[in-house]
Amino acid sequence: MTGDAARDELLVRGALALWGVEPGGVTAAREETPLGPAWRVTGPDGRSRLHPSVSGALRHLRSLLAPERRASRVLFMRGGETGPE
Amino acid sequence: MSRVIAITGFLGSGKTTLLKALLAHEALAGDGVIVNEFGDVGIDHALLEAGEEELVELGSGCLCCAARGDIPAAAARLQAQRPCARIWLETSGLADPAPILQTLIAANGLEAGGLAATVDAVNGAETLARYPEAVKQAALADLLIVTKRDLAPAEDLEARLRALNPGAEIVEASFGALDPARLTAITPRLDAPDGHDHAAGISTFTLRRAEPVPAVALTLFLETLADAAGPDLLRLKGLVRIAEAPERPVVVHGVQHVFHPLERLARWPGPDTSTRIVVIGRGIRQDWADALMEALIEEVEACSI
Repeated sequence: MTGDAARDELLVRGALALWGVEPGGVTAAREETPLGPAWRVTGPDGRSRLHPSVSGALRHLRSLLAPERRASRVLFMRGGETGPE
Repeated sequence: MSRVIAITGFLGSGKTTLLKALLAHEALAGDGVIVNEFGDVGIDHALLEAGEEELVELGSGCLCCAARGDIPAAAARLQAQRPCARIWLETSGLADPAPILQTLIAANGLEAGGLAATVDAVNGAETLARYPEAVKQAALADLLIVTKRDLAPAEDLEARLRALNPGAEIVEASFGALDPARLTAITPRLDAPDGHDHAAGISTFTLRRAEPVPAVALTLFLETLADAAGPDLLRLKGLVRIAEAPERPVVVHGVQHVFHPLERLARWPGPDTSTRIVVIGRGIRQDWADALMEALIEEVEACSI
């Protein structure tokens, strides 16, 4: 297993451990596409979606495997010099 | 701008005794006080207001958390009576400190001055074992105050507290006797030894990176971590070496998913100019968080080629 593949597996495994769930027929893996590497997340029904970022892939995974978990959206409060909002 | 110092702690752990003793110090004359219930707090020279634990939806359309709407209202009533630069906020014994800290981050005219938690030497260990509220209070605190030390040894309790929150200083205070400066000068520690409390499943770890982090990758990391961990991300604080301006560290400080605005310091506070982010959470693996940061940095750097 290459370093990247081990890290990809860790990213999925660590998220599943955080949510306390098993893969349950859902897969997530990075692959090469014409536009560069992307994450393919495939649900138990066989339908898959490509995500350019691990961020979107993890969000998709959570929606499939732990939909009851409360999602949190980062809020930066008040104005800051470098705040993104 | 009023600096608000919050004192939390489980029922009977000595919050009111501590506050009463603190308010007897002349140095705190003119300070404001917000309590959940009017009790026997000595208020000879302090303004007093009551909060009612009113939970309201936080702004910006966020539906997944609640803020303590009563705190800014009580602070405004205090200020209307007499301006006070410092306000002491005593929470109820069962309070979740996270919405309180989030409120202090969000409220106009208030500055989060830190969170102290009282844990009593007699019942503290059992309370931590039985009540998740007490665990969260201790895990989120910047300063842990072990009370009633005159009645019981506290070595085991302090070891448990160190595992639960290794970044917080632990002090002892019997009969509320504590130098007010220990509380008025509370600042969140931006580094902490790693720790893990098996009973509560809460761990503290520090992400470190010598290489600079692109600003976009930092934002993506915070968003992804908050999204994945949800309420299991308890607190995150640290200094980040930003690729776009590595000589000026960015301070990150959030309670769950509510963050202070990212702030750039003029310079690094010491010789260590590496990124270090302390994460306190439940079930969040350090190697996973490390891998996430690394993957997002690679993605951002690949896009900018």
